[in-house]
Amino acid sequence: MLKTTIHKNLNKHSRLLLLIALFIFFSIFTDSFWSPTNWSNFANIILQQAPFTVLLSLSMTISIILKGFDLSMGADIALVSCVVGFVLRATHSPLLAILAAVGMGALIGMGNGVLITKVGIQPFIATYSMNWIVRGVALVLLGGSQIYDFGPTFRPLFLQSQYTFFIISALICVFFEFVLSKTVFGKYIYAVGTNKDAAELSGINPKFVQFAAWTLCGVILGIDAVMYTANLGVAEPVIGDSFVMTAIAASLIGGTSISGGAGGVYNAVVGALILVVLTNGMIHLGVPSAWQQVVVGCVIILSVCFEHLMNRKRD
Amino acid sequence: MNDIFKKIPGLMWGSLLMILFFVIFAPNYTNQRNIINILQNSAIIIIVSMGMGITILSGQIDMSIGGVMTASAVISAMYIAHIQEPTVTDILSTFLIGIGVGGVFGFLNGLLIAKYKFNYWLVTFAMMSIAYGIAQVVTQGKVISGFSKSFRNVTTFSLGNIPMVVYIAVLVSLFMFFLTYKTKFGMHIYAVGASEKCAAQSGIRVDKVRFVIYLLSGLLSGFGGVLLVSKTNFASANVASGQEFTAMANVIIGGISFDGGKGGLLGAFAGSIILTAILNGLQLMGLSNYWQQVFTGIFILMIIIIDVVSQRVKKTKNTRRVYKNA
Amino acid sequence: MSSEQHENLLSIQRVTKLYPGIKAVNDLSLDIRRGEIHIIVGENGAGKSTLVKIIAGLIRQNSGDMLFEGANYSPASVLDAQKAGINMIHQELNLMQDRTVAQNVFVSREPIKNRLHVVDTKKMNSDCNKILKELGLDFDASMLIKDLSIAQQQMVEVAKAVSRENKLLIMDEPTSSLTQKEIDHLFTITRLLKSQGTSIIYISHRMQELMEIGDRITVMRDGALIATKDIAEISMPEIIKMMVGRKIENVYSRTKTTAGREVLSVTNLTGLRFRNVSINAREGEIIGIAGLIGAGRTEFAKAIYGKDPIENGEIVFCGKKISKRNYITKNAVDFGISFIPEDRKAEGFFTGMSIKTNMMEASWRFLFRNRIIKNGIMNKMAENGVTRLSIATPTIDKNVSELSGGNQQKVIIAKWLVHESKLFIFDEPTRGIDVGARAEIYSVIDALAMKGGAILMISSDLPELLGMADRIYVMKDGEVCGEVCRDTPDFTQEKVLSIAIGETKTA
Repeated sequence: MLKTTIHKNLNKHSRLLLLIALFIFFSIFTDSFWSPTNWSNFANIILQQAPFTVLLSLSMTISIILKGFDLSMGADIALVSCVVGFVLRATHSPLLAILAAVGMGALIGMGNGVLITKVGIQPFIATYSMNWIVRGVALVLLGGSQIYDFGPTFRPLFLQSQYTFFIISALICVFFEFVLSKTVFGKYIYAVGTNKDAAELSGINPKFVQFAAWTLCGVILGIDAVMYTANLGVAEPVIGDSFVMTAIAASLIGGTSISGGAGGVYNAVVGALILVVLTNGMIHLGVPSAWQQVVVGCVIILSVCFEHLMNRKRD
Repeated sequence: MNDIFKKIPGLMWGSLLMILFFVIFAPNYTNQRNIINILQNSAIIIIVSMGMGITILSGQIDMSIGGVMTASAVISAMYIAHIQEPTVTDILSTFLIGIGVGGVFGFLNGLLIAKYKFNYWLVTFAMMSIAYGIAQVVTQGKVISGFSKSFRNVTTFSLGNIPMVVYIAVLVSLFMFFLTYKTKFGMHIYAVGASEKCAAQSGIRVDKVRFVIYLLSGLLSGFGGVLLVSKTNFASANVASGQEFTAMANVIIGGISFDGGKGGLLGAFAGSIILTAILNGLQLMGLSNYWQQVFTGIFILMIIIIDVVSQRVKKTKNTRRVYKNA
Repeated sequence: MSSEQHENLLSIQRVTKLYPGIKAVNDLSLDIRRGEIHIIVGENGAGKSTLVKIIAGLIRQNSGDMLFEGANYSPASVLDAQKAGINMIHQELNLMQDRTVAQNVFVSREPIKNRLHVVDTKKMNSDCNKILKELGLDFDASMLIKDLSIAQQQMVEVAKAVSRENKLLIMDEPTSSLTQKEIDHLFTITRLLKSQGTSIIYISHRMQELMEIGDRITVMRDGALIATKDIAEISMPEIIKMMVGRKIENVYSRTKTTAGREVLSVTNLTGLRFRNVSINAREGEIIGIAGLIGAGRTEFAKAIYGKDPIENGEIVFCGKKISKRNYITKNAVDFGISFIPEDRKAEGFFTGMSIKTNMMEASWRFLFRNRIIKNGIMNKMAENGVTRLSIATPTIDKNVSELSGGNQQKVIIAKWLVHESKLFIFDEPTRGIDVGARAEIYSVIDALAMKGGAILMISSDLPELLGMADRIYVMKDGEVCGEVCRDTPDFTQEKVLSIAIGETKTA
């Protein structure tokens, strides 16, 4: 009896334990991790770096719940960033820029949604194709150049307080936690993700649910792009190459099941934090940035193995 | 005559129409130099499309092709870059190293997907990332160029006005045609792709077949990577970025469907040349690089959409016909 | 011939196969002799398919042994069975649509030409053509499967099995899609095989044929062997009687009610696998739909439910005509139609989710008008469902996958009780469920009818239909072939079965 309780709890909280373990590991093995300068660095991680990854992870988690992957993430962020840049350069208005970002993000999300529901292409292929088109559009819009001219109010709006990004992403997380666990639509998402046929036979319209969910993912990415651009200070079309891998790794290592139908904001957040701490720690360990991509890829494979093993045990 | 009509898939007709457009409107499109250019540019993608082709024929997909090509390119480049006067052995070793790199990735893909039954999308995608990462590590973000003439000659030496790389592509293609159209193993690839359940129940070792497919795809990608260095005199950490997408498109234009078990590598061969010809035409028409990318993306998406929708329509039509006659 | 000269090729000894809650094959012993054509008959669910799948190596028995040619026979897979010389022609087509006939027939055994393993296509095609000719077929081995008719495709399945070295050949409903011409050829081949010493196990519902071709016949019922007799010594009516023979137990609860207004009226509905079906159902009525597998019942039901396409015909629900355009399941649910599917795991419930959540899946938007979930209401509804249907579970948060088949079915039914439905469509409501749970489910269905609902019950369990239904439509090959009403002399198992088989037709 005790053994099963321990086993159950271990499984439930294993991610959190992993996060703490990583933290301790890096503290011990690097000099700079625990220094007073790094304490503020730690705050920096949570407040500055994590929010972007958290939103990426959240968007990907929703896609994975619906048994798909969004391979267009990097390009989406790049395109929205370019759009933001254009709007800002033309109008200097943060409000218009944010609206444009949300709109563009939603549009891309709808594009993915249409391909997946109406045309019926597998999400992997659909988003992969969108990736190239969206990236291409971004390149056509800005070519090799960048936009720096954001006007006087855009960056200060976000940067004047170190808590801004954290608050924005926290709000979004809270909102989606509410949607996923407390609304009918959330229940629909889990139903469609668990068993599309049973959901349809229960009177749910899977096509609509998927379309709406993918659109929402696009909106999340739109907001993320705004934050990213504000932080970076420049809008350019070449960013985001590693975003997809990061998002998938964060979502999976946070505990989202690869077979769909399960997972939530908690998984997205914890997974993102693990990944950020891991990346940050690697930098402090002196691991060259090139290796980090390799590590992320391995993390994905290991997460899949881990889940495979856990399921095997249950049977 | 009617037979040829039936054999050429619909998408090819559209693509041929586009080429006709270029023949008429693009300057210098049909002169000998441009045709050789097209053939030469399509050679390497033909080779890796063969690998993509057999994977899709078996009902799955290998997303790691671009990454493996890149990794193989940089690793073999690093090997031969410092050798001023490479001997034949050196050049041979370079190729073996590149192919070997591809083989390692192919082996890993095969192991995880065929033996341990992991999700093929995710595994090959993760492998792609790992491969790009390794390429980054090896190059430290720098570009390697300036290889010896003898190494470059492997692909660029002109035999009867046609560069070696085209002959290499043809040889590899002939081998792959033989494998898939004529041998028992080829039949089994089709069987697994047509119906994995049926194949397994009939006594085919599905996991063995899939393992070899991924291994082969890896080897071909590795080979393609080294050829790329030799041809372009250049290697960097994103030198083959996106090639898997192009390979996918070539294969679909050529009539191989995502469902599996349909089409043939002849189509992959033809599709590769056609797509390269289209891109060539765009370039000659003065389209900027970026517009080319948008166009390629949209074109490929169109192809995929048409393929998916027409497969679905065919299936319904067929079910209806079959049951009406029952 | 004396009995000593008969050698038993296959000896099945006390084989039992259990599925959760049901004995698919119950302590069955049977001998198959060399060179005989052995017919096995029984209703849907009698266990015939399960038995032959065990013989063919597709599934393993729970207990009992098999001897093949005197030696212990326990195949771990289909390949083992094939190696022993046992092959099966499946009921469902298992062909590769885009490959040729020859490629399908010789899959995994392609003849090779030389050391390079080049396939000898010429030989493959000519060998295949030889077999096709023997089967009296007029299409060529190089044709693609998808270009053939269903009947021709079924013959390819036959060719596939016949082309192997067979000591024992199992044919599971090989003639269900064939025309008379092909059936004749099949019988010729069967007799030829027999003369070559092959034994044949033949499962079919085509009674006339069986009498023609069989040597002995075994009747199965509820997983058990009822009798094995020589064909010459038995008559058709006796066989049918043995097939259905059990008494109607008092498991069924059917309260007499007067039917109310018309809920469903379907006129000349035509879809992909059914034609010109007309039925109607009123409040308080339980309408049974009987028929063999493949009769098109489920497809018809799914069409009413918006899941499968409708080509022609009209559906009127509670007086309102249902528009065929853009008719999806969600609309059906909004109208008040519920569907309890046959395949519970794949289409009925959500694995890994709690009982509570499963029960809510059809009612979220009805229960929570403002789209926000209130746990309290959800819990109350779930508790209600558990009590009302006597679902055996300690809590409503238990994982549905861990329940027994009967309880899982109850959860699925409960799903539709949370909001008001007027029409309940049950597809094989008690398949794989033990007797105790069955009784409870019958009383639930009865209660639904009592409350004014209309019930459509698709079932292959004749006693079930006769026990519960007021009227039974019988479908065959996509059409309604007959209708029998309660309290009339036609309302018997024998009559329904004979209509379903095609023995007799009612006006």
